[in-house]
Amino acid sequence: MHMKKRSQFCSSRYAKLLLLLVLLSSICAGCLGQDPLKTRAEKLVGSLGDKDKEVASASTNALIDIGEPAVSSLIEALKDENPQVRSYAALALGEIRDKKAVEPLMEILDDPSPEVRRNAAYSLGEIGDIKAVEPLIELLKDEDVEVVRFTVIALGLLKDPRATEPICEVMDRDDARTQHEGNPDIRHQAIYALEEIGDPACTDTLLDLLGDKELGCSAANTLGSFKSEDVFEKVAKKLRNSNPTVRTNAITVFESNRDPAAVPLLIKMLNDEVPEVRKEAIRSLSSFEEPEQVAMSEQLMINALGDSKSEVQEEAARSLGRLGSREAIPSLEGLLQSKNKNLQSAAITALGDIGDPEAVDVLIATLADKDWLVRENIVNSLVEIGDSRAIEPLISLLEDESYRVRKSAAEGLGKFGDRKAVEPLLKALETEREQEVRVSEVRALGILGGQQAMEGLNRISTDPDEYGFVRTAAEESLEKLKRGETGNTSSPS
Amino acid sequence: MKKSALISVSVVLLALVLGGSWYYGDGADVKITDMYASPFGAGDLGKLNITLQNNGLKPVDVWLEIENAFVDENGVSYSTPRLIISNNSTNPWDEGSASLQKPIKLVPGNNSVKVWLGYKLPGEYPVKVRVVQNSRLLDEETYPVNIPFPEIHLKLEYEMESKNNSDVYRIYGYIINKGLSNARNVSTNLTVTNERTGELVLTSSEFYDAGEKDKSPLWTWPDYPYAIVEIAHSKPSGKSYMPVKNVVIGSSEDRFKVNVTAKWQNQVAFAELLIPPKEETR
Repeated sequence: MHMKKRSQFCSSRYAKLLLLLVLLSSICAGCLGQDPLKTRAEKLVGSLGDKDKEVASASTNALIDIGEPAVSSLIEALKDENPQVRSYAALALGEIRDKKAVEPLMEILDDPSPEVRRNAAYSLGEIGDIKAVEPLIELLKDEDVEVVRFTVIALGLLKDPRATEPICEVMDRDDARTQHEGNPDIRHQAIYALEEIGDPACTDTLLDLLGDKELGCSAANTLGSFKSEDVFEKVAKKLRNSNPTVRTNAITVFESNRDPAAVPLLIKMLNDEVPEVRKEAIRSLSSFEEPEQVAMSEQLMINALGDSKSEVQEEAARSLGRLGSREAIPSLEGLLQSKNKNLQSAAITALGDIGDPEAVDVLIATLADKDWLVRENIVNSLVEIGDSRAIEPLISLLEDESYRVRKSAAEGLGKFGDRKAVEPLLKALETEREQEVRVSEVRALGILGGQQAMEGLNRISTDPDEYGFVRTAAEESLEKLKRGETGNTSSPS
Repeated sequence: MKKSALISVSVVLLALVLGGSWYYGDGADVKITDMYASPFGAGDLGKLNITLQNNGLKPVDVWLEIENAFVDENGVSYSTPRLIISNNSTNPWDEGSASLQKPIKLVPGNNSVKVWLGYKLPGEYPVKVRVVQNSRLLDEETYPVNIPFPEIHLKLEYEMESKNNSDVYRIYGYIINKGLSNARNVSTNLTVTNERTGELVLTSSEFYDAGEKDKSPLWTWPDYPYAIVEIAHSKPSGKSYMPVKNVVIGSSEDRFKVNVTAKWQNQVAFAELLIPPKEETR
């Protein structure tokens, strides 16, 4: 009996010992088996509350780098008593985009710290789980304007139509115009979000904004992204609105959505009494580039070159250039002598965009203009046209009094690819003082290539008294020439 | 007593076995066999190339811990956040960037990785590299990175144009830095003295930055010189020469000494011109 008791006692003791060893082993194995990334994440989470914001921010970035293994530590950190820790943890969870974080983030949308609510809302948008839509809609009633703005962004990211109406309503808040640290206000952000969501249910709200000087253009672009007959009809009605800002922005809607049915409506707007509206109509028409559309609008735009207002003429010139209208060349040439420098420059640019050699002689003749901006524009247009008659005038312009013109001329000579420019470029480099011009001259030599250019580039690339950028440009040009990427030009040196 | 001793011995043995297996782990044997950084200057980004040799037969995951990778102007040291892992391509830009927060996998044999370096001021910085596996130090080495000082020089040139009984000297100047480090806030002082009267007729001070192996023009406006000296042989032209601020008007009898001094920390550079130069005196 006694023996039996002792045996039971012993077996019980040994069992306890065995159990103790097993437990100890489990603990040790647990310690040893812990994911080192998780251990590291735990340490970094400890730094999220550092008083030095740079340390906290660097720790956040490090946790984002770690990614999924950091998620559980970050979720735990959302309950930390320090709001800075909760805020950075929320931010990091959004960047990691692990869906496990959705519920915990939703739980802190009522956090007392606005920064935590803001980051939690934004992160829910980043993660992209539509479970968050309803709680985020609720958060649009938050008293903090930045929390609301971030919530609007998040709802835009989630692209759920349930948010359309609440976002429209948020634009009526008293503080909707408040800007924080140069960020867009809630109204602008709401329009971007509505575009992201793409739900035409907000059409009427956006139409009402077309007359707003600040928001009208953004509202128009968003409306332009909705392609429906209903929207088209409503916008077409706005073309008859008494407010010219509404008419201008309605035109922008059609420019945005490129519906060919809008072309006849836009053509009508060329006769609008307000120059700004006519200008916008011209600009919009130039975005309709199909031949039948151009056939409808081209002559009317050429007629607009004779408009009573120079800003309309200017827009007509630029638009005709974009359309590549050869028919417009004589009228545009006529504008080269305009005393209005903006109009003159628009005509020069248009002739370059059209790219017809017919305009080269007139452009070269206009190089005598006293205004360096005009000369620079002519150089650019001559280069666009690419007619070799421009090479000699461009060589002469390497001595122009304006560094901007010298620079454009050097770039142009490189683009023309004629090695007869090598010697003038090398000569210009002997006296040119402006760094930007020297870089362009060196790059042009690098494009033209040949023995003489390479010798010059070699000299520049090793000159200790040279500008660093110029030396680097010479080194890069030499490398390209050696690799055969450049230097395949028209005439031998 | 015996039983309790047995328990204690068992526990100690178990702890030793587990501790030993933890410390020696899977037997990773990794050494730093080479470190090298190409010269670079203060304010630039450099790279420390590290060769790590995995002497084992299997790939191993290790962490790199870097000290003194970045040091600011106050001497505060920061670790580099990222390392660069080459994919052995011949294209030097074809490299991947990885976080130091994650382990890197070392294949058996030599492995090459690079870490970013950056220092605001010239000097010598010991960069300490530790290779760690699960908190166990596998190897450590220190590489001294030497950030050179800038070398400041000055150069003055002029162009002369005769117009309407006046000789107009356009003076151009450059700070040339032949060193590998940037020199910020180089203080320059321009003085123009009339040699005939000994009168100091103009002084002007400015600060410039001179990048490594680069030159900075002393003039502010493109196509306009640093200073202008007009020698009028009859009535001065009356031009304002705007936007050039450093303008001196003199007569045929005058000769001006144009003197520029540039200072950066304990370096001083100096350049001088005589206007008109002796051989050009009418």
